[in-house]
Amino acid sequence: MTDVLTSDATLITGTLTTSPEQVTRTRTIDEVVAEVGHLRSRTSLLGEDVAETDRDVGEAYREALSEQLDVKARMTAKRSVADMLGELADAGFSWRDIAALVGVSVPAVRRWRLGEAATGANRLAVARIVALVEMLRDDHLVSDVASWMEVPLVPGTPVTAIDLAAAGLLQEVVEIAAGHSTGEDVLDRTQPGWRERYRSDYEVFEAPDGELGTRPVTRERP
Amino acid sequence: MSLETFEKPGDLYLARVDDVNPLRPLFTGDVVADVAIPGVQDGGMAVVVAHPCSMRGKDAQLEPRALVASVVERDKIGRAAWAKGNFGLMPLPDLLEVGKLWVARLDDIGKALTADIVAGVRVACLSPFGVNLLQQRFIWRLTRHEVPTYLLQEVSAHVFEEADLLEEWSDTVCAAGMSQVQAAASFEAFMRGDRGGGNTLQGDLRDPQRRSTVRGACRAEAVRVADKFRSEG
Repeated sequence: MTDVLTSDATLITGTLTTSPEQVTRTRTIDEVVAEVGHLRSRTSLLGEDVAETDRDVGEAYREALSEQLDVKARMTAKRSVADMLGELADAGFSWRDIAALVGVSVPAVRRWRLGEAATGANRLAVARIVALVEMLRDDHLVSDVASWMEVPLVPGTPVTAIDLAAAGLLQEVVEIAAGHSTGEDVLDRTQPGWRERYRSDYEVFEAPDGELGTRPVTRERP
Repeated sequence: MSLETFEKPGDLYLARVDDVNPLRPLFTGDVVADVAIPGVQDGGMAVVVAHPCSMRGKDAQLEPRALVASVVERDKIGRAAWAKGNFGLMPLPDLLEVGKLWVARLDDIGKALTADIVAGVRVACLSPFGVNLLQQRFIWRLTRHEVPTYLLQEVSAHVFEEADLLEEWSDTVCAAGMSQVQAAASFEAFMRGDRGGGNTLQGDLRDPQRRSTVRGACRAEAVRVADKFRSEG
């Protein structure tokens, strides 16, 4: 083994490990930078391709989920509206949240519970929520769906899976439950600027009278 | 600064006119048809602006008087105008009639007799967002301090939840023949009962993760109380 020594500081010192005729000459630092730069460009392009493919696959996944929810909802809609509402109540949802998820008023849901007929569109809307709850529970092993959907997607923000579903983003809720997306991913995609919007210098605390209140966030001084 | 506003009038209301459930407990944001406000009006509409916690005293009994603001009809104001002005008013669009505007005048406030409020005709109940918006505008009017509605929601979510549960409880037990006063008393006893270590269902409502469990317990107990009342009656 022979060390290649050079007095030129811009040249790289290499080590010959095989027959000398395989080494034509020592590469200059400019050549190395150009070569690694080319590799960097290629990996960046690959990264962009992967990201684009990920977006496409994500979109295809959400479309497939939407279709799956539609199929399940059409089956579920055979049941009576009162029966479906009862299932949602038994799962622990509030009537206010059920109304928001279905896209109607609380009094409308109350009238359905008391026996008033719902329109076909509303019946299907209720069935779609029941289908979502069953998918989360049976396919994605969410043990207490109502509780899971009431917890903020990201600590410190007020947006929950109920808010997403009420906005029609049922597939995104399933994506989070399946572990294919995080709450941050979905908020980045659906609510640009959410970090700024929900950044607050105030916190909720328990006041001396035992009730909750708000106050400025206290930061320890260095 | 920019206060928040509504997307559509319906966002502000839980129920209006005939949809108001008479069994719903009195709450912030309830609009009543005919209320005297000392120094402000001898009669006419008013909205409750008192915080739910300050409206009730010992054993959740209503205080003799509650803070209310006068409500009047006025010329239309565009939806966007509420974010940058009209700070002395709370918009109540389509309150009694679609396409018309009523407003709560946040400077015309006073303590009305709670008995009058309860006995009066409730024409609307604001939604949690409506109540939060009312509080945001009221805080701004009094202090020039802007508080986002989501923060107000975080503080009051458990109180909204408890009002909803009492309404549902009353629906169930009053259908069995119980009076509204008896319904409220049995609900309070159940919610404030010590479940070990000083924990109560009322306390559990503060934790979003526990609310679904509290609802389930309340619904089951309301059915049990109603059945017992029927069998004993």
